[in-house]
Amino acid sequence: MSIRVDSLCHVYHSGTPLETQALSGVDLLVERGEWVAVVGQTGSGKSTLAQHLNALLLPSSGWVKVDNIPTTAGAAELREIRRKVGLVFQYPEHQLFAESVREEMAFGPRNWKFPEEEIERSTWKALDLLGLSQDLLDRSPLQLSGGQKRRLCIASVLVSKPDYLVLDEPTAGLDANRRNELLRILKKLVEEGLGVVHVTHDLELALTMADRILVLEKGKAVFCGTPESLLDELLERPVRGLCLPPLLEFVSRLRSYGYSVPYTLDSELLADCLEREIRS
Amino acid sequence: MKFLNHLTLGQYVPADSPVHRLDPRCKILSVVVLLAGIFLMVHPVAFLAWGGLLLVLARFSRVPFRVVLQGARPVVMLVIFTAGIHLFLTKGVVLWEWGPVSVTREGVTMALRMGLRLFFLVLFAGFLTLTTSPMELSDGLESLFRPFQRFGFPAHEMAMMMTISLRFIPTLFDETDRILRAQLARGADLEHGGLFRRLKAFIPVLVPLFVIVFQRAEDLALAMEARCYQGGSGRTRMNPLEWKKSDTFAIAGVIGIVAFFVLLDLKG
Repeated sequence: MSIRVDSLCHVYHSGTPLETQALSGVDLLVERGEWVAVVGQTGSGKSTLAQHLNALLLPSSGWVKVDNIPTTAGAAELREIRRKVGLVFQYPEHQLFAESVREEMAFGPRNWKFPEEEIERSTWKALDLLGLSQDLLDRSPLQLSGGQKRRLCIASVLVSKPDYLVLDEPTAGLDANRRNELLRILKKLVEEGLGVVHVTHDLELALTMADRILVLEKGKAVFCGTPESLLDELLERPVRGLCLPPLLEFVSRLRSYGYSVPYTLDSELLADCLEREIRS
Repeated sequence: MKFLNHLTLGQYVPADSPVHRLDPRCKILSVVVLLAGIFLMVHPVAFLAWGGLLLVLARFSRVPFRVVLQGARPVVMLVIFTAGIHLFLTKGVVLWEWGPVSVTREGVTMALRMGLRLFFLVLFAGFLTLTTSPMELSDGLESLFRPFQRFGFPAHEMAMMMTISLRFIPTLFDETDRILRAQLARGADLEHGGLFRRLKAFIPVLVPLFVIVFQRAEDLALAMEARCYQGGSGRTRMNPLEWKKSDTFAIAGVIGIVAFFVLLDLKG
């Protein structure tokens, strides 16, 4: 049970002067219970890849299979794929429309013909999971704060019980507390067996959270592997389009001065090691 | 897959041609004269001359003739419908009859006249937007309407509104596209069911769109205020409109040709 992407290519505006190759020959495997980060700069094809995972875009060549069903299958399979792979876009303004949070949450499950009592149960669970209070149920989604809107968007996708969750820059515009809170929730979901694809330009976030990282550069996969191996790679030679997070840059500088401190993104651990080094 | 292909709505075709270089005011007035001329046409045969004029204009403006004809695509159904109504509902000498349906000689003439008239109206009006950028167009309109400011007509504000709305059409298409995707990802079904169900299915797309439009309008108003926008009074331009000799010649030429056509047509 997994999402498989095999030599995926995508061409926008094919056959016109605006033709652009957004993805060329990308391979990716996402298992359930795994956190995969897709990292790259603006215009590297991250969002295009994300939309392929739930058949909003279809391959120009290559294929995407969700639990062994290709996204190019018929309309009925396509709807099932879109339920299995929940996709959360970056901006809440692009999806919140209902007059109450309750209705907003019921939108997805109703489209997939969930029974009403199940919708209610699922709504409570999803809201609870994202730390949204039941008192909000009758409020208008537009009255919520920015952070609440963002969490409501994720909840309104989770309520349809997807097996995979694809998030496009889910932490953009959240303050540090909210961000960590959201990451903690996602981690918990992964432990419960959800497959998470986290699209981000924040390498540090990917290195600390993900099980595997795919680095895109101009539509090509320039790296795919564990955070540890990406770190090794980054230290040996620069990976195109990526630079070291500041803390690692700092460690690298310290090591060049002769301090033996480990490459880590944990600032407390680093401080302890550094103190020991200086004392000795 | 792009869910909405950008509509070709009064598309400007940039080129460096004598027609493009004309003052927008000259072009607007010429189009008014041309359209008035078309309305005065009586004989369907006279439209041959108008067709010839269209070819000459396309040649001068270096706009491909195919693009010019494309401009009439949105009204093809309307033209056929209008011609059809006139064809079957005009009383006169019966040419052909089948049960309650009859075609008369007057009907054929009327159908041709009305259909061609509508068709050429759209084609000539299209020339204005094909050869004039939206900015020039609104500048030209503002300048033409300025004399009416004395009677309280908000010429500058109208022109500004026009520029802003034209500017935001592509942006709103992009936004709609994004909203569509977000709702499709939550299982929205926009393609199945009857008319009513399909209309209802568009509510989740329209509501966010309206919210975004109002948000954008407020942002824009703020940005304009922050740069001390005060409306039209005392405002200077980067590219002031300049009425040249060629503009005088052009409009004189257009009036001459149209007058000639109309006189020829009246004589039969």
